[in-house]
Amino acid sequence: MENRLRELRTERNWSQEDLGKRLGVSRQTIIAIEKGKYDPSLPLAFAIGQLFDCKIEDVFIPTP
Amino acid sequence: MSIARLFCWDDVSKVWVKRYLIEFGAAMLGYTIVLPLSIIAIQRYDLGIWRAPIGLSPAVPLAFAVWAYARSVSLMDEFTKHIHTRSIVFAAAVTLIASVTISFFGNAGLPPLHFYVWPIMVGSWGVALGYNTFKYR
Repeated sequence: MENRLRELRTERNWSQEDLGKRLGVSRQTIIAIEKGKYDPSLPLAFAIGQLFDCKIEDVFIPTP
Repeated sequence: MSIARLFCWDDVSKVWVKRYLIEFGAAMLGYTIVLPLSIIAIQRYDLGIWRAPIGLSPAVPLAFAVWAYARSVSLMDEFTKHIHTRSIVFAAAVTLIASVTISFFGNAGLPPLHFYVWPIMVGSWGVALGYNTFKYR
């Protein structure tokens, strides 16, 4: 699954650690999600959408 | 580069890492005290019915060490938990395969199996954890 997490984060000038703190997850979690190596759980995906004030499908794009 | 940075121990991770190091450290300290005392007591004194409980007493701090790890896993964030779970599953699989294989070789006169289980389990867990940690950096 692709995602726009890095783009949304850099728009706000947040570091990966800043974003992790806001979501209550480690920096490594943010790195793995941004690189597309890890798909977050539904609660974390919702928390990400809520934090960036957008829908989950605006952040995460399923790949065929 | 600090050790905390090397292992990605940010402020969120430090919460469980600090707690784990304290609890696990205390358990291992207890083990290093109880084990020699237990061995000395068994070798020097006639303990009667207390022989078995005192002989098994080093298992108590070890159980606390396992509890400390299990508790730290419950405090981890979802991705860290994912990495640790993968590593434990890998270690369990390696230990299973190695144990069965060594059992087969036991007939050829190799030392008893219990010599191998602990280092294989901990070693393969450590390798898997290191690999998974650095893979996702």
